[in-house]
Amino acid sequence: MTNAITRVRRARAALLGTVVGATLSWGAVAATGVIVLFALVDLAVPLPLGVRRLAVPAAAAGAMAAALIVLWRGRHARTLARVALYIEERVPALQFALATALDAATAPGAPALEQAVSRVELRGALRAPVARALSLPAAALALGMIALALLPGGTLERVLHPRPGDILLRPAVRAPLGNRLAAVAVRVEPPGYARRDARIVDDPTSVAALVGSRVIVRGRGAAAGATDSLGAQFGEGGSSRRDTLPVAVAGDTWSVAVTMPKKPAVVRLVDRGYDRLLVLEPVIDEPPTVTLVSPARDSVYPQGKGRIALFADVQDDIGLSRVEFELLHTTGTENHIETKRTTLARGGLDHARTTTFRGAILLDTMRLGPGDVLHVRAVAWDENDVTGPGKGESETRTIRIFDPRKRDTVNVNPAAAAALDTSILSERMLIMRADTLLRNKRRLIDTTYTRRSMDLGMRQDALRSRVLSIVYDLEYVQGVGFVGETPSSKILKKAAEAMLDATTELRIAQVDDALPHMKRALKFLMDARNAKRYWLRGLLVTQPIEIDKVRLTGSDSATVAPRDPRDRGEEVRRRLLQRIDRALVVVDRSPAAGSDSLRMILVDVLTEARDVADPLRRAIDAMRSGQRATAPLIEVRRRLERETVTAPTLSDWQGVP
Amino acid sequence: MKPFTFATGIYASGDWESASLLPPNVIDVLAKYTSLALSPSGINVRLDSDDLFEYPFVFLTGHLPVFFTIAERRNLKRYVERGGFLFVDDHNHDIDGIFHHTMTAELEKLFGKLVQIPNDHVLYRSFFTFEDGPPNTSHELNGWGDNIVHAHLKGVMRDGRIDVIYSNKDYSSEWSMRPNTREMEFRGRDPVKFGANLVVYALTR
Repeated sequence: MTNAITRVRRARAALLGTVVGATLSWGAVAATGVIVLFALVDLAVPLPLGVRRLAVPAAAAGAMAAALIVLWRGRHARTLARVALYIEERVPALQFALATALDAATAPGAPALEQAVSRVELRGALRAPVARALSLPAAALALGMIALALLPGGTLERVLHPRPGDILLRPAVRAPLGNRLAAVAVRVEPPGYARRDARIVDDPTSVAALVGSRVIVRGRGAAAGATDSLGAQFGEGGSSRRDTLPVAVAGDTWSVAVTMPKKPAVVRLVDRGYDRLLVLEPVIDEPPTVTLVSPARDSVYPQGKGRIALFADVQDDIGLSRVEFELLHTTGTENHIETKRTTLARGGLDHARTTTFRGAILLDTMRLGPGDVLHVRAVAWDENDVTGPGKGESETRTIRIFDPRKRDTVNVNPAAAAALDTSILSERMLIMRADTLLRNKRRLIDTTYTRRSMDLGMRQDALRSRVLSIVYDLEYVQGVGFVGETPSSKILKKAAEAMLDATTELRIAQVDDALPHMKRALKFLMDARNAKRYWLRGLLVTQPIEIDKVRLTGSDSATVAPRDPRDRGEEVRRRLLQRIDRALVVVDRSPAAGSDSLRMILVDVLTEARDVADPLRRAIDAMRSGQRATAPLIEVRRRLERETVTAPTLSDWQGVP
Repeated sequence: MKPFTFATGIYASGDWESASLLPPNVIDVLAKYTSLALSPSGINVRLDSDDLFEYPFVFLTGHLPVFFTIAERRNLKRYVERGGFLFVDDHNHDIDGIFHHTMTAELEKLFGKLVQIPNDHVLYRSFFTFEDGPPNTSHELNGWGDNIVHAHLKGVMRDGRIDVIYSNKDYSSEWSMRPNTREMEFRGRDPVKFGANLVVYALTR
């Protein structure tokens, strides 16, 4: 005889198995239900790719939730006592003998309880609830499977494996008598040099792609008669020329291929009484951006000697091909000028998008003479082999070799004398110390203040001696003697005079009176340093004419031709607005025709008023999807009606009497 | 009333100052033949400065390679787009035409391809009448590198109006070496007269 505990354990195992089975079944039912729901909705209204991508995660989440609920409800099947009570509930004849037998398994009287339990058939009591728990989800699952099986072909694939281009799997697209142009998928294959993957766009109003991209428009529909009825035309904006494009038909799929042109264009697809416009928006591959970091500015070299480091930053939106430094060496006078172009440090870049590039000009090897001019710049090319290659150039730096014959017209910035720089530093430091002394005057006793002021006076005098020694060096040449004042020596003498005044004041503790002289001395020192700069290529003498003397003394007569009035600048935008207004009138009568008109206008907008393209595109999309296009159309109008902005940068010149 | 001031553009590269006598000769012609209010002397204005916008007509010349700085490019484009008039003359009459090559590259970078200005354009009738288009000079050789003396000027045009004139005639030399009055009377022509057309057209287009 099997004891009560063993029988309850068997019952528990059966119940646990049932819970597991029910969990799996209900989970599958939930997942199937979610998938079927997505598929049915997509069947009625095409769901966007992003929404369909949520279907599988949503099914998994639904399955998980259903499983958790079932597990939670069956959690008591783990406990023997609850299992015993569950059985007692369904077999009242036990009269709690089973539950009591479990509790009193080791107590006296247990054999009697065992006998009471053994008289009852427990397996039969569980059979019905187990069958019910398993058959219900199984039936639901079967129904779900039947629903999936009944879904039209392609519908399930759109939900389970959503991807761009699967719009063509929709059953409505393949309806025997349906519009073959109702839905299209456009595959864009960028040109090879871009090294980018192809992409597919579902049912677009317009397609933006790099110039030279291959644009393949695909659609589906009844195969019968497709070859005869399908047609495609291509035309660029602003041109009346229309080219016919070949339409390839394979089974129930048709395709039209076109290369993205340089100008905005439109592809018109025709099938029986249907037609459809697709706007092509070319994306221009920008040329590389090149920045010449070194040399940082134009300069004049005293002689054609030394080394100029070259350093450039280069970047491109797609990929770089090569880069080089270009050097133009111009020599000669204005009657005969020779220019030689050379390249330095040429390098390949293998599709890099950014790079830094270095090189050097060795002036000693170039045999440069006075007056020679070097122009140096960095030049980079991108890999565009369709419309390019795009060429980017840096700013050009002009390096001039000093020509003594043009001394007054050449901008020379030689390094300042080291001794003079030291003097400037010392004067600046003396001024700072005098300032500090003046600020601390109240905290110092008089004798200390006077002593420190006199100390500054001594230092100021020492500095004056140093400046005078520089003046001597400038005006006296060893073995020759005095050679005359130079621009620098003249200014340095003024600095020395100011220093003398400052010294006098400092020696009598008049620091506040000394400071203006010290600052004046500093200014002269700085002027002296700048005196060696030869200014400037801007001193072109302008000869005045005695207007009153020559006024209307000419002997020739003139006949002024009549002029046409100039078109106002905003005419183009006004014309576009008028066209849009006319199209909107058509929209009320025939939405499709109005939408097509707006697409044609979009092609011109892309050329003539690009700032309007985005809201116009949104308006067209809204019309296509049956939504209100009022907001984007208002934006279109506002942008087109925008007043011409008058920039206050041109003089209000009134030369005509 | 603000009088017309002949402005010569200063650019960082090259030798913008190479035709110093041209401005006074053009001003002289304007005074002799027109009643424009005139400044007695020209002015030099940096292309990268806001002062550029004070002058409705700017003259550029040179022999050397020209490479505008970013600031010069930006300012010059803004200047022309907002109504300024640019007259560029190639002072370099060497065979290799380096000024031509570099300056046209710069202009085309800014304004698009230069086009031929038709010889019946109103420019040639804006004051004096030049039936055959731009007057030739004794200096034009081969700046365009194709061994012919060109019958047209080039330029940037918007709706038939000229914004930029590019000349390879070397008016910079021709007008700088203007003969004296008696010599002109003897020759029967004043070579700088076309300068009056340029200025009058620029101010009235």
